[in-house]
Amino acid sequence: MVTMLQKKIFRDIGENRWSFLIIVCICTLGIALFSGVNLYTSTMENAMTDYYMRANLADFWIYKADVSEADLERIQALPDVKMAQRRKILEVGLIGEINATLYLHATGDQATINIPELLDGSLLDGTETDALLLDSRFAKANGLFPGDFLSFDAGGQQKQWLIKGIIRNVEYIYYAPEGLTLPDYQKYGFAYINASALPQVPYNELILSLNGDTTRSQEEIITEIRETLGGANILSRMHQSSCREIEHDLVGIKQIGMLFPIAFFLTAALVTWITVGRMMENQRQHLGTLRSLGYPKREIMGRYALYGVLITIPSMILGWLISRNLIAEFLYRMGIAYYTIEETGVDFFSPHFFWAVLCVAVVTCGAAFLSCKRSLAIMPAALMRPKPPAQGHRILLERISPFWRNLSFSGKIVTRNLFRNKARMLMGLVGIIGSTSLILCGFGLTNSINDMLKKAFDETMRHDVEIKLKNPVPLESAADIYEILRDAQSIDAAMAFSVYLYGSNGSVQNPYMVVMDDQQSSLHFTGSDGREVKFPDNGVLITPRMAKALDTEIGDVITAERLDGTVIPLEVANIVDFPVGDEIYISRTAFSKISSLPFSVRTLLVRGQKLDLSALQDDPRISLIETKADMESNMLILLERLRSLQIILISFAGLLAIAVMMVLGHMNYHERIRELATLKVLGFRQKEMKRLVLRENIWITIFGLPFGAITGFGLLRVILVQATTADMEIRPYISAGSILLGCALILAFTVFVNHIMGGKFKSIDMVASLKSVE
Amino acid sequence: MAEIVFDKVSKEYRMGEVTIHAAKQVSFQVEKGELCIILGPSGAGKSTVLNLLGGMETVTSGKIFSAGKDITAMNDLELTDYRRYKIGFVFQFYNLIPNLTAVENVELAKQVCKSPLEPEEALRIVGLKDRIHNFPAQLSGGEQQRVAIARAICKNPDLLLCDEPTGALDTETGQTVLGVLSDISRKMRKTVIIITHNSLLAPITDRLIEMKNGKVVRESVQESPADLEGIKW
Ligand SMILES: Nc1ncnc2c1ncn2[C@@H]1O[C@H](COP(=O)(O)OP(=O)(O)OP(=O)(O)O)[C@@H](O)[C@H]1O
Ligand SMILES: [Mg+2]
Repeated sequence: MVTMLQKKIFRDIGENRWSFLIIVCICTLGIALFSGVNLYTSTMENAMTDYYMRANLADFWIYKADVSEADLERIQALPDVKMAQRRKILEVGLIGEINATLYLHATGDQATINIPELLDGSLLDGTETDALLLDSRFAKANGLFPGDFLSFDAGGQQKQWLIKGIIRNVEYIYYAPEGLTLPDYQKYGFAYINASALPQVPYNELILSLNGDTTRSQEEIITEIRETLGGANILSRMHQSSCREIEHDLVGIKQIGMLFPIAFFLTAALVTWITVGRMMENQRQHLGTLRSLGYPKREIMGRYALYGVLITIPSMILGWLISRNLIAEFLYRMGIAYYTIEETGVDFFSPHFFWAVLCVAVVTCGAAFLSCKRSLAIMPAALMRPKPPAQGHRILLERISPFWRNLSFSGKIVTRNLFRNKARMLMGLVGIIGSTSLILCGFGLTNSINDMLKKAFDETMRHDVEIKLKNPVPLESAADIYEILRDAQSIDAAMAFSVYLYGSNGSVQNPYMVVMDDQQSSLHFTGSDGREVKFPDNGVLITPRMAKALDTEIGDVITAERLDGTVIPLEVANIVDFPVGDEIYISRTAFSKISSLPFSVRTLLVRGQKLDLSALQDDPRISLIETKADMESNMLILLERLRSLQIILISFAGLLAIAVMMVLGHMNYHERIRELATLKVLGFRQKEMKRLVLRENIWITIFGLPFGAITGFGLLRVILVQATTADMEIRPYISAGSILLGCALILAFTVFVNHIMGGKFKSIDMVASLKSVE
Repeated sequence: MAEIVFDKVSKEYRMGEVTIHAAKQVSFQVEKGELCIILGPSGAGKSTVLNLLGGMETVTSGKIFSAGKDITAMNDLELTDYRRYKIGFVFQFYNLIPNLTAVENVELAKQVCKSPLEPEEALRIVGLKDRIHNFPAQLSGGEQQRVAIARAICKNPDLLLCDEPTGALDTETGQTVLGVLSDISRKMRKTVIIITHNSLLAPITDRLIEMKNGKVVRESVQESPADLEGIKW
């Protein structure tokens, strides 16, 4: 008996195979997208955490002119400090063929924190005074191997250095030297040497790691360290450039990778729920028959829950395959290229996968179970009769007689069909709204990023070239540079230094404070209302992100602390819309009122076309010359990973849209096959049948599109708010072109599916379809 | 040539190894304007024959002529046109479209023909003038069947095919329905073919075809058929 029931269910599924397969596809897409994107982020996070542990990444990097033995001991004695080590750091320029800058770290004994990972050659034994361990990326970019020599001038001695080993280091997983948006492995590298090789250089860096079980906050520990050392520049992992970059990177992808797939999943789940419910609804007469044959309710329900299991298992397997081998793998390939870390490959699972599968199981089994239960609550006799069409009354529109009278006959039928079958319309709307909003949100992500870049590079930045100096110099000493740039329209000198800002809510921010001429013309600030904001005579300009992070408003006074411990009170003069970066801006006049520090140049912002910059290329004072085009393209490269994610999102949204339309079409077809057969017997032509039966899908689509657009914008907004970091803010924006394209795509899918379903009309077997009451 | 000619028509259904012969070498003729009844036990092949004639299925072998045209030679489009302009079909189970009212169901048929009757008129003929705005669910079985007949005659077809139109009805309602059909044949000069189990109907017809096991076993013509009222049920 039981096997007969099972057999029947398998046969039902066979008859409904297309709807069934499509539902499996929808569930697969949901599982794949959600667990795929999250598998990537969790793989990355695990790899980082693992590497941080293995190589004992420092918790703090502390910079001070001279770190004495006593300082080290005092720090080591602090309660939460597990290990501490002094280093000498020095930036050196290579002499010879390779024109590059090396960042040297020298330790007195073997590194116990930020332990280098040897890839080739051998480690230092502690005695060498002319050997180094070289950055693997730098070595590769410049074709260097162990045994080669480099020459540079370190601490006053020019000598040949032997490359003893090629290494990676945990503190340089991502290495874009200050001022650079992207890594430049050919020009910038790092190396580790013995402290004895730099006798004249004082110890000027202190790295330390904390006990894992510390209960005190970072702020408390930082304060304690600063007091112990009597002032120092302290970077936590939040500020250290490699760690911060990785963190920011993952936050963006993680937020998008969480919210978008959740919305996707929601649509998929709703459509699945309604479809499975409808499949069960179409089984009601069978249920009645089974009941009247004496099958217990429990058994029938148990068997029909099989529907859910049969959907869940294949979508679980397919979903896993796609999530790991396609999505996570693709993102991993894109992502890992930026990091200098061992490629261990994508993990096999992340918990998200199991959550996704659980959701699918609950939705499919739940829908089958519940609608089965609802049907079984009705007496078997009533069940066996076809569901009494609750269509004894007219739809509301019919009461508006002028409207109704002017409708063509087929118009009337289409309208009535539309409003009569609530489940069908609901499912259609949910599907359309869901997939429209996902597609538009995907497009919107791209639009918003482009819009942000456009705003940053076309509207805010008015200068064409940025020249960064290695060390701040008084304005007079840069006179010769000004001379070289005499053809420029304008040159604005900017002074920039790192400060700590303390918000009234206890948060600490570490932006650059930029001091510029009152009359500067390089940066065009606008307020939140879009109007231009000139440099005020008092106070600073900050970004809305900073204002939010510090919880301040215009007119508030915040405390800024320079790295040497000098405290400067700052009044917030205005909040300006500046899409990239976390700098705060102040005019020279305003700065002179609050600080006695003399103005010195760190950066030159130059306006002018076709400037000849070649004379500056080899200037030893200059660390970087970047044109606007360079900056923009670097920014684009930086955002490439986000874009690759968007490609995945958009294509998945498109697939979902097609799948939803297909399942909608199939369900309608199956439910209305009798009606279709009747029309066919009456001699309706295919075209006429399509007009009567399929046109409602187009109406549902057209009706759903505006709501989809609204939901899509909402989703985009939520995602972007979540993905906003201190140094980048992306405003939600969907261009009219994208909206048109998105809607056109959805409409095209609808027409396409209608076309396919229309083709099936040909093969309807009139006799078989009309044989019995069903 | 008669209005309808079946010439050695066979229909086989292949189900794996087994071949079911639903109709074996069926030959008969029906003249224009006749009321014809096909009688026979269950499984005899009556519906098969009617479906073939209605252009809803294709023959395995043989030829069927309807108004001189060989419908077995027609392609899909021609068959659709054939059904559209020539045939009115009434099913045992009505097959009304549940979310259209009676008049709209009839109007549906009107949409596709060249010289239709007015739907109201068709419904008046079947005696449902007062119920035209009711939905099928609000009508009894007999009333629904009459709507189905109205839908068929509204098309003003040359040929009205009815597969057990009274099968789901009680005798009295069945009689009303049959009355309507015989009226159509007599008054509107239409060829009407009715399948039924009820041999009591035999006296009222112009032509009687009896089938058994997929074969025509008897074909008889009646020169002066009795009136429907005269028959005892
Ligand atoms: N689609 C089909 N596949 C297989 N066999 C079929 C099919 N349709 C009909 N048959 C078989 O063909 C034979 C004739 O069927 P048909 O429906 O014409 O009988 P009938 O005379 O109308 O019977 P009833 O009075 O019960 O309606 C039957 O034996 C039936 O089993
Ligand atoms: Mg039959």
